[in-house]
Amino acid sequence: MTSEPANAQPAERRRSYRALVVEDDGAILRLVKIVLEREGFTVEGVSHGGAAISLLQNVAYDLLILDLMLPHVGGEVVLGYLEETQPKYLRRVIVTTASPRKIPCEFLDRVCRLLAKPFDIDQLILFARECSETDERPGDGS
Amino acid sequence: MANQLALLDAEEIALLVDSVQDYAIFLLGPNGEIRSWNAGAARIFGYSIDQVLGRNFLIVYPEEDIKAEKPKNELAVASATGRIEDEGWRIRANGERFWVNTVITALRNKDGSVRGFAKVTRDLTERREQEERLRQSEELFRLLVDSVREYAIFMLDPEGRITTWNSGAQRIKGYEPSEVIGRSFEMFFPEEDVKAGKPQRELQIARERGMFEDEGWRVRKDGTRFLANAVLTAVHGKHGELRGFAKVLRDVTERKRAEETQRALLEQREARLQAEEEKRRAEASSRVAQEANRAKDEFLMTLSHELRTPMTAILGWSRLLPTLRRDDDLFDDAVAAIARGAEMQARLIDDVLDVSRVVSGKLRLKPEQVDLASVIHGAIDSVRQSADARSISINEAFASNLGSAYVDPTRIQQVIWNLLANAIKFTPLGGAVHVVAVRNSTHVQITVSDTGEGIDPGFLPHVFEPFRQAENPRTRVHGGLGLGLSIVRYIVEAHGGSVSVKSEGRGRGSQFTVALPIAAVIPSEEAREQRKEQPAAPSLNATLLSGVRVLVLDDDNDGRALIRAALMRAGAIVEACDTGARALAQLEKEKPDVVVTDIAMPGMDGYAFTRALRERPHLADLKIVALSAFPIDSQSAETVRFDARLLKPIDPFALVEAVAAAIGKQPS
Repeated sequence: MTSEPANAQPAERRRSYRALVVEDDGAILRLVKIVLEREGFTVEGVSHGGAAISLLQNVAYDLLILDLMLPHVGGEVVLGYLEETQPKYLRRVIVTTASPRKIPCEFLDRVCRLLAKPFDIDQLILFARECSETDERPGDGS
Repeated sequence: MANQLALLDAEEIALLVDSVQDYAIFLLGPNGEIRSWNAGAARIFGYSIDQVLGRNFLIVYPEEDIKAEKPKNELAVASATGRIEDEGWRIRANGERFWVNTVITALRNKDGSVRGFAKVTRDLTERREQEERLRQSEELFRLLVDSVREYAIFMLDPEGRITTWNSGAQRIKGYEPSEVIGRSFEMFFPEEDVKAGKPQRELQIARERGMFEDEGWRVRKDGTRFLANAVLTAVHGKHGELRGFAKVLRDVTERKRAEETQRALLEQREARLQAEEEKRRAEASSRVAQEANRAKDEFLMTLSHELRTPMTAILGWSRLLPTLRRDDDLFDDAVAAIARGAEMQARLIDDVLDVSRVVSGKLRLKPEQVDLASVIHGAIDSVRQSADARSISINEAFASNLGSAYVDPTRIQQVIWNLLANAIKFTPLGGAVHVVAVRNSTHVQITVSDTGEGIDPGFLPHVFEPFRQAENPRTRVHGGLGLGLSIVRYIVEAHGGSVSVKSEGRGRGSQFTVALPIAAVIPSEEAREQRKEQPAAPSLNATLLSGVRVLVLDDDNDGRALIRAALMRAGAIVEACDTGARALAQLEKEKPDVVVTDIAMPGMDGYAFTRALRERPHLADLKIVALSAFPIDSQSAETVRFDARLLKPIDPFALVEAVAAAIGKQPS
């Protein structure tokens, strides 16, 4: 990091927070990664659902940013996996989508936040803070 | 007669009388004794001359006449008046009675005293029988007419007064004969018809034309109306004089009612069927509309998705950009990401606009003479970067005679670019894409093949349909709007060409081939030079159409002259016309082997001319080569069958080859 963050926030507190970004569009993945790193997150990025599931099996991420439309294994499959294995962890998931009209209302109850593309990065930062600081720690109650 | 007889002597007169067969002629003495008996008398009465000579003529009269002294009286009258004529019964030798006409003439001495009588008798039996037969037949006919109850049959005199009345008339109209005989037949017509002069008009027409038939209302005795079918026939005497009219009339009220009921039922049935058909059609079109709506919604959703993704990168990176220093590595990455996103969006928008132009028929081509190889190279160059990024090699192989083409270079480059971009998109890292361009006698073919994913056989027929994508929309790997190939097909077809696809199936690559018709292609100068250098070529061309009869139709004088010269140089016998009508007239005179026709002409254009020609059975199989400038009306082209289509400007070589190909001649 060679520049000041877009929003000067006390990033120190989240220095140990880990985030996983699942996004098949390289430019967006890179953008989200940089924004979250400036917020103090340690960020890993993958481009499809299969890679995400295998990481989620081993790492307790503080935040998951999940695109719904992914090649091969879609975001829905990742959510299904979490619902079965760590339902409380869904409170730390931000779902991104470029087709918000396809998302039913009830979907909002399943996850922490829904972010429609194109999203504002301030909104992304706000949601990232909110969802990562939930009381439900990864692994709790699962 | 007497004078003429006077020229004959007595013996000759005796012979003449004797020989008459149809009349009995004999002489009687003053008291009735028979003195002569000719052949006719012998035949009619059945007595020989020996049996009657000297006997009294009473022997041929019936008993009752003799008792009434009729023979004696007849002789007395003849004596007194000189002559008596009578009809009556006679008796033959065999006792048979028969009816005769007889004339007895008194013969006198010079002093006036009666010397005897000449009697001439004619057998009337046959005539009488005929009269009897006629009388009986008339009686029978009268009885027949009288007994007919279904038809009113009655006679009118020339003025329309009723003279006869059968039982049918009585039944149908309700009048007794005594109530109508002598009255005018107008009494059966409704008042308004009588006022309008209808009955008299009917008589008039029957008088002039012999007959009048009519269906209309009539009135019964009780005042009720009925619908009648009536035929009025003029009846003429032996000498053509009008004797009156025969009227035959039928009550068709019931029949009419039944017909109307039937018609109403049929109409109801028809209306029901029509309503059902309309309902079916409405349902079908509603299904089509729903399907179209669904496809449109799906498309809008995809479009929205495809636009939002690059927009996310553009907005995000541009928000980040002000926080970065120029010398920060991220700065260039941000600018590049923004540019890529904007380009992607621009392409999507271009595709959508192209499809919108296609749908509204506003996609206009701007053709010009361009080198095909450089058009293809331009497309390859613009995808080179993305191919390199995936380590995909692009191999090209162009035929040396590829030449130039009269095409819209931007659009043809767009076609090749689309095929290449697809090939790269669906080919795994390290794969290969091949571009091959060749020219044959009728087309230039550009083939783009890859070693990529291939196409599912089930999806193959749909690849060129707009909004169709083989991918599951929930887990799309490649994205895109699914418009590219539909645009490719439209552009190629607008150039008069075709595009086809082959794939052995999933994982086995695919191959797209664009074929542009030869006339859109003019060989490069180099190829032209080569052609000139070959000594065999001109002589080959000079005989290729040797003896082939060609009819040329072009309204443009220069164009016609060029086509004519090119074909004649190849040995063809050419007849040229400047209008469709003249060409059709010429075709009636002589059937050529091939017709070459321009498309755009005032009045009857090439399509109309070809349709007219195909409608004539003896010309339906004629080979037709069409010449056309851009753009080809694919709608009309579908309904008209051409054997070849050449695009203007016309290359003489291509024209000769196309004409030869149309009649199955190959340049060797």
